[in-house]
Amino acid sequence: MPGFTVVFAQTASSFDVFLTKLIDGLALGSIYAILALGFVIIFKSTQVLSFAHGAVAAVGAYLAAYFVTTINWPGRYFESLPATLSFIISALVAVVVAAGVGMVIERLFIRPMIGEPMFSIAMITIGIDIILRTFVGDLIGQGGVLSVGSPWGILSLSTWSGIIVPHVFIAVIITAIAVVIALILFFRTRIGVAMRATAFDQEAAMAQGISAGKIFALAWALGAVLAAIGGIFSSISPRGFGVTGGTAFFALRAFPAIIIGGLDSIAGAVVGGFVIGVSEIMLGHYLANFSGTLGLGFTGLIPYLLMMGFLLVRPYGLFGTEEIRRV
Amino acid sequence: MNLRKKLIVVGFVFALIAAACGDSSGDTTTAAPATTAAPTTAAPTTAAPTTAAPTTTVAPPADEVKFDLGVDEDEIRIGLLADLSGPFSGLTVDIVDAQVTYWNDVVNANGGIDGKMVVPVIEDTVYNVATHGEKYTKIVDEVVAFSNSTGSPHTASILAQLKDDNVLAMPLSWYSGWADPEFDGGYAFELGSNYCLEGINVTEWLVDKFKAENDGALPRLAIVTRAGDYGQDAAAGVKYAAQQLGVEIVFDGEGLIVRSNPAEYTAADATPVITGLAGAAPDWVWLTSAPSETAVLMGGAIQAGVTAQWTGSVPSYDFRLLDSALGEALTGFYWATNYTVSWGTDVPGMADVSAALTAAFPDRRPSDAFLYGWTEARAMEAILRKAAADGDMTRQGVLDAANSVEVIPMDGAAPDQTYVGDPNDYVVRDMYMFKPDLAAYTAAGGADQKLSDGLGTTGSTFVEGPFVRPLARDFNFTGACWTQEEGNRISG
Repeated sequence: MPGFTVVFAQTASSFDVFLTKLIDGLALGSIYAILALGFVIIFKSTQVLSFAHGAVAAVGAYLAAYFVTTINWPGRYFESLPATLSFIISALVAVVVAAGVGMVIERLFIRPMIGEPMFSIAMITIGIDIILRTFVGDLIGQGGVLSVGSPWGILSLSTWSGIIVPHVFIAVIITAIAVVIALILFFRTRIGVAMRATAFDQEAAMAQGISAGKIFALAWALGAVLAAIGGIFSSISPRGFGVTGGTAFFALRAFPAIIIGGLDSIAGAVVGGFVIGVSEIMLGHYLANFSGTLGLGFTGLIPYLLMMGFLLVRPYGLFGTEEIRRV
Repeated sequence: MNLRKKLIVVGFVFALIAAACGDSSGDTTTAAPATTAAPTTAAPTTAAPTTAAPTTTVAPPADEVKFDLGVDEDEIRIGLLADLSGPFSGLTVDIVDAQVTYWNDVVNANGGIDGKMVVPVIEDTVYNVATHGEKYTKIVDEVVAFSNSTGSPHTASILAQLKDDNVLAMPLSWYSGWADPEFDGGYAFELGSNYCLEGINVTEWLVDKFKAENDGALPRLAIVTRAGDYGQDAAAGVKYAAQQLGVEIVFDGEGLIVRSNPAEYTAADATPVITGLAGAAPDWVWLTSAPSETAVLMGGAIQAGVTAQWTGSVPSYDFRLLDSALGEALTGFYWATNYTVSWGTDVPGMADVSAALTAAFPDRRPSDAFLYGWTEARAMEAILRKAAADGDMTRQGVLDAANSVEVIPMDGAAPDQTYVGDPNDYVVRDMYMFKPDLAAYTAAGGADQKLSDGLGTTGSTFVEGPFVRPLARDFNFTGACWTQEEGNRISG
């Protein structure tokens, strides 16, 4: 590796650039928040920390890419259908199939482990992660890339007084807001209340006639839906350029978000996601001149450095429930 | 430590390990040929290696041809050390299949060389330096020469053995050191121009184009390259041309394309480069990258507001990028260089290539890489025929033939090649320029094209070529432009 220096002819530090990067960070944070919500819903409902979350995200992204690129569905049947709408339909179908994958995982691998040590279940999810990643990797091929298309167009940008906003950023922020609103409304429904009750006290909920098994299945389906949405957006430029062997690892960068927000906090997942996303983009931009010292890939470490800092200072995160132990 | 803390610790360790390791079987080195875009799924055509034992030189009657390793009364065996299942397999599978088609349908079908059939002995190196060396050792005693050795560091790793075994190899790599006998010992015979001269030539081309379209103003140039003998050899050439032409380099990203995970170039990896590009606001960006890196960098930079034109070293672009989300941007802003014409270009040699490959692989899509394999085989055929004509098909005879064949005609598919004389006299300086055209590519069927449907297109519209701008034409080539030990040797 040769010595190198990042040379800037112009140092970009104007307020416009700040706002541009802030929106960039919020867009990235939206993806992290969506992924983190999936982690938290599964953990809160079933006390399982799913290390297969990234692999499920990759499955969802692969399914979307398969529909969009490989078979061009539904676009092949409706040539006049706008590309963005065709993509959204494909993505929705992919998300629904991913929900099914989540339910199958829960039924086959997780439910039989109820009552077993949590570490055993965590190991099971690591095994599922490896299986799913291998499966997706084989479908894509070594070193391969399967495009999910460019539903909002790489060249589609809006500028306001020097603030540059790719339309995909707007799309993902709106999606994150929609997801949060949908979850808030869901938790007010009868089944949503049942899920919250089960998360709060499983035995009491079962005594009230709530089927814990169905709630577990629903939690895994919801988690898979959120993983798939995050996986799809992480495969769209500028975050990614299609589904690759690395798609599953992107989701793991949301893990620090749930640590920062609190492992069992829905609100914490959202806040943690935005903290991580904005920090990553802002620090990546304003410290770029120091990349010769910090290393070119230093922005990828930012989420983990933040996580370590929070673990040291506030191990239960911003909104997490502190466990009270008798001594 | 309570359960939750334990889970967090396990998760943290898992996330770090997963993020750090990923799929470690990918491309771990600098250099090289084109693509990391989705490889073709067709199985490579692999000739069964023969088991011929080393022999002593057969002393023939005065009017016959003498031979030893890799040649017998009936066959001439040539080796191919190709990446058939690694990150560049999308390119090299096509190259190898084109070579095999050439040997079978053009050479062997017409009587072979001196009555002997040419038999390719193919090994998959997986684009791994260690495997490359192992496969070389495995087949070196069976072959008279290597008509393909994929990768710069891979070929460099076997240079000492090539010398010990006194055997010729054609690298599938365009490092300027291959034309430098001090570097390769005279055993590597490159095809086409090299990264350095390409950088000089194409930089002047883009400067001319920009000046013509902007009332003589010079472009503000940015350079973004990989580290090592691929990226920095090219950077040396581009910087030399920029110096000579008075062009300001507003962002110097030489060696800044670095992967934190060997399996994938991520947006996080690209952040410092994109930040630099956005701050520098160049008119033109020069890339020396892998196609997947081109996608991340170009897509990210455009979405960060960079409005430059782009071009780069040949392997930076793969027509299969038109299948990706970048297709529209490539059509608008990218200029694709090449060492050969692209598939379907109207040149005399194209008819033969397309007819043979269509017959052999009717269900495959068109590929520019077929032309690389075809020209490799043409060059090796010319060398072998010269050796046969000289009555010496030993390895030394083949090396002598390579150094004495006056011209290897390519029928317009690529610049004619020779290795006679001083490197400054014979090194190829010609390049071709193409414009990616998503509309033409899509109209022809895009990724669903089949050779049996017609000539087809890789979406590369011919712009100019072969061309040599004055700086490249007059450049005194005395050796590698960049070496690991000395760095940039031509432009400081």
